Amino acid sequence: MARPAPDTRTQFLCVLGTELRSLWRDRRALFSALVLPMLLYPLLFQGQAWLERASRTRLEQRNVRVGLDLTRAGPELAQRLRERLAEEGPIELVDIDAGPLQALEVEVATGAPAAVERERSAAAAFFDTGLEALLVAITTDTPPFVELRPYRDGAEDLSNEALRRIERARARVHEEFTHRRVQELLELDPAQGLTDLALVDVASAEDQGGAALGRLLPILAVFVLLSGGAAAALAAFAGERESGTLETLLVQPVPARTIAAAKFAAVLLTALVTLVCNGLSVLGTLFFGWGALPGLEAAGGFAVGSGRVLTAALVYLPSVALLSALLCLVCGRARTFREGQHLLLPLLLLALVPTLLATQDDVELDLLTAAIPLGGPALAMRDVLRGDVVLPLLAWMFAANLAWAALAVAQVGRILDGERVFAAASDEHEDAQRRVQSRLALRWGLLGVIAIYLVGSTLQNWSLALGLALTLLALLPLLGLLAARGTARRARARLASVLSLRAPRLAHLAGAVCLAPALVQLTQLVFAWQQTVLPLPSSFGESTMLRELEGVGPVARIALLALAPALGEEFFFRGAILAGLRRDLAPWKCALWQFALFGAAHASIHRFVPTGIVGALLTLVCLRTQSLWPAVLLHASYNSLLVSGLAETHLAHPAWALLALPGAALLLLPGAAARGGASGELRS
Amino acid sequence: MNAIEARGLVKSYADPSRGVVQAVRGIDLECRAGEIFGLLGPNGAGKTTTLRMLATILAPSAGTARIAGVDVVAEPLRARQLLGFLSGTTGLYPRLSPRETLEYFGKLHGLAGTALQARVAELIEVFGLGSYADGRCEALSTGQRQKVSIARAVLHDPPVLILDEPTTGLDVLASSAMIEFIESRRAAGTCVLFSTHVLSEAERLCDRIGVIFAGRVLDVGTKAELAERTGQRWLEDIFKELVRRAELPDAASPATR
Repeated sequence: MARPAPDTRTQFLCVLGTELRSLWRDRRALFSALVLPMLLYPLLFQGQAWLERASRTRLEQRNVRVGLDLTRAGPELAQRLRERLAEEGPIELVDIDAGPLQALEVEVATGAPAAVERERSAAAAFFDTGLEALLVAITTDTPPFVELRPYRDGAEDLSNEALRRIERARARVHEEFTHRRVQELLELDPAQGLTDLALVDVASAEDQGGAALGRLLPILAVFVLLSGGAAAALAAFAGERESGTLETLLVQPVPARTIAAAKFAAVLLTALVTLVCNGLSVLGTLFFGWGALPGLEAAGGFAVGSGRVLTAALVYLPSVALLSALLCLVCGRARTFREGQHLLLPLLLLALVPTLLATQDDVELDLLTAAIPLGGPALAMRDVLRGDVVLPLLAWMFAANLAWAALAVAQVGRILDGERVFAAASDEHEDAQRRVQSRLALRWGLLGVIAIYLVGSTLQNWSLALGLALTLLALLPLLGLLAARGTARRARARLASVLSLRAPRLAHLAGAVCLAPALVQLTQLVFAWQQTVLPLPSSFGESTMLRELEGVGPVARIALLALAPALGEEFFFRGAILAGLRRDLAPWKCALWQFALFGAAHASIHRFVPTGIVGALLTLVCLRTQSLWPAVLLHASYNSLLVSGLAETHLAHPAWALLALPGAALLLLPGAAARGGASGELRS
Repeated sequence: MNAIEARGLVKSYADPSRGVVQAVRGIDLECRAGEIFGLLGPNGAGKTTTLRMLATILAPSAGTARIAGVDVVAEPLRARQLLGFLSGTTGLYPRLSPRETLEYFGKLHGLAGTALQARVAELIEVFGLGSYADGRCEALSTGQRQKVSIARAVLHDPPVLILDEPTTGLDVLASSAMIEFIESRRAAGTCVLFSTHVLSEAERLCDRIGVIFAGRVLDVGTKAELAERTGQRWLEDIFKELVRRAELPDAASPATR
């Protein structure tokens, strides 16, 4: 049958058309990914506003009991405060004797955590009598020598409401006194009074609205793009592979790159349409007054012009392309639809990290931040919406991020290589069996991270020292044991072997200790660099665990902050979780997953990268030495250097980093199993 | 010129848990036009990998292969124009109709306009797809899907058909229909290379049989030739004898016919 050679452009359009047609006909996926979110935005904004109003109204109508001790404030001030408090809704004023609080003032003024804790306990005794808040006049040694100090129970809504009323009353009294004093000083006629301070905001309504929208839209865009694009990417790659149509497609006289390019185009178009539709829904909700952005509730109407919105969308295009390409890469690697779905959450978290830069007011768009993938466009979108446009910077951001997107798109062209799609000669069932260890290990890892967030943080809020100990020495080991038991059963191996609890070589232990100073300096360098793009909030250093545990003895502090994390975290992450990962994944992939899990477990975007690096390095140490103990020792040494302060003093000199050389050399010596030790486990 | 020719085909790949695995260890094959050649072997023997290399889905680690004289490594796209591929795991696009499926793959092969429409209509008639040609493939029965898959594989009238365990998962009737289709290709002058681990299929259909085990072709020939060389009557016993000989410490290299 003679016919002309197929034309690549026609083939591209043919594949693209078929992808879009298949998507269009999947009404259920279209509805849930595209239509439903659009409908939910008005409900979300309205619902949130209604709930807030209802909650505030309910609280404002409730009676609150406030304990007062204003004997040290002077009769006039005390009288005025009582009068103004009585005007702040249903309130019962109860006279108390705050002598115990006054007695602690000298100690509290030093800022010693133990004294602050005693003050808290003394105040709590008053709350136990049924009071929602306290207002106490405390005499101090420093001007103004009398301080009005409110106390509240922050965990109780009613206590917070009582505090709001106290604050309003106090502000009114302060204003009255200020007015009177100014009149006296200026010798003004009291009958004329002072004009009130009137706030004048030089920002236009459009700038204000744009600033508020700029904090929200980049985050929303990531969610929307990934949810809409995921439907297309999953169907185009993982879904086709699972259904058997991908193999058929790869046997057609179409270059694999053409097929991949057409599928990418389908994902990109779908993501764009989703973004536009959802964006219009959000803007429409705001424009018609069905909801308001945080900080703009009192403003009359939403006033961001279409020009700014279009420009903001335009500067965000590189991120759209990059996210679409990443979706293709992730779904292209997945063997099944379900596996692809599981990979979407980590992708979302990774995409959110740089995007969150746009929510930090003190992070500016500059030459460095503009080049950060996803971060640069997010900052540019924010700046465009609030009216800060620097064209050369925007052009640089666009070019840099387009380069990132092009790099990702180039990789998409390779994912339909038959080698990657059909790498193993064994059947899918065998592959699924082999990879079950790593899949389950990742699930346990995520469970552990969530447990640290929920259970660990609750325990530590209750008691920092005890909570830390329970989290690190009970919660994590228990989860680790449960995870490792499953791995051992499937691998038909001993539990101790699965957890790599075999005795280490002395050389490995020595190498681990040598590596610690260099690791400290490396993470400090990373932390310092990170602050140029992600400055620490001012409160970050004020209440670290070290200060909060000052009341605990030095030995206990080292045990809690150096040894306990080393034991508990290593047992869980490098013992139990790594046991599953290393059965299916190459070492670098194991290290990458440990980077993500360990970084996420420390619950701070500022600590994510430095602790992730530590996690990855500890993984490689464990894999190389085939024993958990060198990683435990390295982790404990690292923590000890930080807790003891030696990292900032005796070991601060860069020369200490050179210890990494002999340390690495020692760690590279063969592990115990490689020297003929019994492994105690069978290959699964 | 042979319709299919393979010399020293090798396929190795790296597995994170098993290291380097050689799925195919040097396979020689020759298949003629109008011949039905069966590749017979157990699961994991290397049948699918061999067929995927011939179908240009996988690149050989070593060796050469040609489809109607076209090198599959040097000119994969041209080779794909000359072959039709169908496997037991081949699927259809659930939300396309059979007609749309055939039109789609026809366009990918360079068919267009009235020629495409005519060819699609012809296949719908030949394979009896008329009653469900415009419904979605997800609503079709197994047998109906199989017919659509076969029509798709022969849409561009290729001189070579490669079928990878085509009767896997099919019921008796569907399996019988597939066997009849394969037989019909002989009369059309098409070279059919198909893999199977079902001995009865090989006995009934194949002009020649290649026995494959552990990535190697142990022997090739008609059933009569294999029976004579192994001293066995039934194909099952022939297979076992060839495997036994291959596992001897000083086994000779496999014969090629």
